[in-house]
Amino acid sequence: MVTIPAAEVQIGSSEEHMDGLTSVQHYGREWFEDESPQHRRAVATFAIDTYPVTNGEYLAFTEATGHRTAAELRGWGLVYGASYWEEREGACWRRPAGPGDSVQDRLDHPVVHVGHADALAYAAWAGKRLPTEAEWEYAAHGPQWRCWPWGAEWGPGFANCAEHWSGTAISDFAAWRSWWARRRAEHGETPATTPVGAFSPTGDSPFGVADLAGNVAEWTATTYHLYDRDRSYDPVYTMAAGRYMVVRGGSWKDFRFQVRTSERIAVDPVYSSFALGFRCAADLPLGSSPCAFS
Amino acid sequence: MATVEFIVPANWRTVAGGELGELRCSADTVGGALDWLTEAHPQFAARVYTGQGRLASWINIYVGEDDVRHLDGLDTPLSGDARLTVVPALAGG
Repeated sequence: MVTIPAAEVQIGSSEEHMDGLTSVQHYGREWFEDESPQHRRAVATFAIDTYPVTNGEYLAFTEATGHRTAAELRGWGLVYGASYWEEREGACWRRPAGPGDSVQDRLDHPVVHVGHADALAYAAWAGKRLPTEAEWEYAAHGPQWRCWPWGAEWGPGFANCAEHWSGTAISDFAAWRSWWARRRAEHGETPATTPVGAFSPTGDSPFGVADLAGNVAEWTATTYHLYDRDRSYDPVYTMAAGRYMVVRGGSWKDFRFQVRTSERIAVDPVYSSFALGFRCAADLPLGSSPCAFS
Repeated sequence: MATVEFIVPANWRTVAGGELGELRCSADTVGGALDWLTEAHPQFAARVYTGQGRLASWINIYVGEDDVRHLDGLDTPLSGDARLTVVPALAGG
């Protein structure tokens, strides 16, 4: 784990960033508006996993506890098919693409197909917790806000997202679909996760935390709320507030704009897919009394 | 027969290729209203229904403040002026 020092940090995106973002990709600003307003937040010292939880680590957890994920219990998991999401029979963290797939040769890749409760169960077993949304974002951009963990400029080899695999910029859904069709034809529906840390140190955050942009999107401990009650947001986000949990970081299947440090994703806690995982955090000092009596 | 107003995610306008205008219909049930929506805008069908015609797990539909899965699902009756909010199970990004 990496220790992140206490600080008061900028959380969310600036007006300038939001305007720039709107001009370079296909979604309207209202789709990202929930990143606004940028505001300061006090974050206490904490520790965060250097990497997302891997298949190997989740295997150890299930062997120790007998835990079965929600996807395993219901018998299917969400996989993106030829044209949209599909409820794939047999898909789960052990078989991310469904029958015929296996994580046995990908034990160092991040686990996927875990719902929020599955992530919480692992964290409790590991003696840790999920990071809050503010902790996650602070760990990603450091004391000074930046667009991506490594800085303000996008470049090849920085993160595992769709543009890494396509080799070209993706700025709209048509380009993304073209990439996915090629990817699916060549590799099937096995998620394009990579071994944790594969993009280190190039893609690391200022604190040396890896895979905060892409690879897998990550659950946080925070219930989704809007940053400013007096601001106008898309009604869909208003409905998600108080019901959904916050996911951060984007995944291997997202555009570079979807793996920014302040990108927010509101997710139903029962949802899981072949692109969603998590990492853990912990309070500090680890395992010691909060009081010093001598 | 209820008068139904749909609220859909902002990015669905991008999917539809532009402004959608008002999404209003008359329907007796949530399923009837969603059938109207997906017939008027076929590109939304895969975002609402599975290939087997069930309400997809990647979408949540709210009647007022209530999730229809906690009511009668697609058979949930509608009356008066009803507002259906369509919220992807993963929204944003």
